[in-house]
Amino acid sequence: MNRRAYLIAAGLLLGLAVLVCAQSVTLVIWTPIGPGPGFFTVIMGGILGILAVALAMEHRKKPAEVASAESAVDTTPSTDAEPASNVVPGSDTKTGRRLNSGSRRVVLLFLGLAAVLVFFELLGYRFTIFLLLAYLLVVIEKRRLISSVAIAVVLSAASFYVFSDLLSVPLPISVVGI
Amino acid sequence: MSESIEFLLQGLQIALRPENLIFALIGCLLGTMVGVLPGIGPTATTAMLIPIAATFNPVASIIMLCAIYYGAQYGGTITSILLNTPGEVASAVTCLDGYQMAKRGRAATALAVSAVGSFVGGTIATFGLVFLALPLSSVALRFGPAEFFALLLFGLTLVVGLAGKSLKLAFISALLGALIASVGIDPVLGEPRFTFGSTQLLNGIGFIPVLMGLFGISEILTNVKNPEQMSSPLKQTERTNWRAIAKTGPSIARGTGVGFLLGLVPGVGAAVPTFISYGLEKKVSKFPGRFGSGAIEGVAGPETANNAYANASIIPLFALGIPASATLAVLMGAFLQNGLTPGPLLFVEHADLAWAIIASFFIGNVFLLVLNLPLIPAWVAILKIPYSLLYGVILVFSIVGAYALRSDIFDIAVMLAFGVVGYWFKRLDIPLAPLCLTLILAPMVEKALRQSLSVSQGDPSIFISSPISIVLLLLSGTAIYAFVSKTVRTEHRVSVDE
Repeated sequence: MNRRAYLIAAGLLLGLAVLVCAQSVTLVIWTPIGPGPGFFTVIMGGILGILAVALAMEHRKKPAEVASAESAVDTTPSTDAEPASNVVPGSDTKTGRRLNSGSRRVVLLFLGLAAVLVFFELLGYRFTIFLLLAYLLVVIEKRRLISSVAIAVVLSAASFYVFSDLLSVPLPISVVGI
Repeated sequence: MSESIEFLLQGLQIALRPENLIFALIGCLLGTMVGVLPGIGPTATTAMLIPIAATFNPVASIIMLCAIYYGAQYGGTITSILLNTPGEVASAVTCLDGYQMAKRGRAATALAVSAVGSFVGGTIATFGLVFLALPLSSVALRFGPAEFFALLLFGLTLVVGLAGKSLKLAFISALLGALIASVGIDPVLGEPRFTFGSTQLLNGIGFIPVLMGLFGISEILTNVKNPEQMSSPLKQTERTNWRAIAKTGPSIARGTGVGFLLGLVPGVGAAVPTFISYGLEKKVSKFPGRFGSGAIEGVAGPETANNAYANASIIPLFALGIPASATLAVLMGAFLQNGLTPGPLLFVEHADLAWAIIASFFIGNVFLLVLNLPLIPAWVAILKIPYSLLYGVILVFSIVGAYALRSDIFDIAVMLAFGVVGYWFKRLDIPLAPLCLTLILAPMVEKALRQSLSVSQGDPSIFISSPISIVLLLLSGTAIYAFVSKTVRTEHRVSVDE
């Protein structure tokens, strides 16, 4: 995993640590009989901040490393699990395409799941799950449209029957009552 | 003891009646199904079925509801091993090595060792219920907040054992788990903490959606990223390796001990014995580096502890009328609805019914083994479904599971958010186990600590005022010292070599 990812993570962790500490000091830190609600969280925030800085220090670039790294490493941010040093710049466009397509699939999947949050209670369980499954099969997996729609219809209906009717799990109904 | 055996045999006669056998079987099946489905736990299922069960005779009703309780412990294991999605909180630790075993073509072995370990742990714990209920429960009653704190602190020391390659990253993971758990209402003063004015955050961040996201959703995101692996990220390449399972005898024995003893202490929770068992297995193993990569002991120990805990945790309910968990509180409601009052008088006023229910636990454990071992090929057949279809089904299960908790879209959002967090954790080699451990234990530790100081009016000597807490604190200190000295020796050896 390349250094930039670790540095970004360290930055986010440091930001979180600052937020935790800032919120914790607004709580009761100490009571007459011992720690208050903010005591442990301010300590944890502080330790997290220290560890975030340590993580950033560990993965920061050094000048000598930059020179040798640039000669052997693709400077395009690596989005694959492989180390960046395994990707030679411009030499393997097929690998590059695969790397980018992998990340694209993840983004598409995440967008689909995010859409579930928007539509779940609006369209109801059955429509939302049908749309999600059809989207996964057609857009991400690039399967045939008719078979994908059929699978999506069957799975959404069957799962609703199992969970809602058999197991009495309360699932949302669409605004039109279906 | 001979009197107990006599009562037990009389109870067996009642439990072996056909109608009671059928209800035990139904309970085991329902419990396994419920355990498989993430988010739909035995608590909700038991509560939903109480009105229906009330129409049956009291013994059959309670036999079925109890079977759902311990059956669910096994069901949660199946999805942990096959799909890296824990069906129950207690099954989360099985994801660490069980799923890795499945990825290496050893899914059948993982499922089988879970079934065998669960059977052994559950059966021995039931024997414990028969012979040791009253004397052990009196010891468990001596656990006050200070003893709880010491016990949970000992559990937290496992973080160092779960560290993996980087202690720094492990502590980051542990701190994040503790901070996530701190969102909500302060357990002692009742003050909102990190809620930012949100009414949903007032209820805290549920650990089930977090675990589902960290393990299940993140795994899907990782697999989707690598389409060349999509055809079969899991493979069934070997049959059940019974020889390997036979070698897990010591792990199963240790898991039984851990689960049984912790089951006697009300309020410990089902996840704690599994984590302690996992940490113990890693500590005693000659090759601790295997853990996290498919070590069979990492499945055998925790799964045994899981079921031993489930059966043993019924002891405080039967012997003292104290439900150890939410599910057992619901079960207690079932008892009361059927005219049975759990506690010492249960064995006086309704001895025949009480012993029939206890006898049914043996039968239920046999049912679970008989049901689940032959079903292993069926469960493993799930792996033959193309992953491009399978992950859609897993997502549907996960979405329903998260939503079913509180009928709140917020829980689905939490699950998805932590799916992304888990995805990046894997890419950055940040271990998930410490986060899971502190997510569950940290609020309990904080509550126990502050309650103890509240009881003692701020006097810290309360923590060394009882032999139980002294022993547990010494164990914690020893565990930390052992790990730190080992780390220092290793780093010294590395620097000398350089």
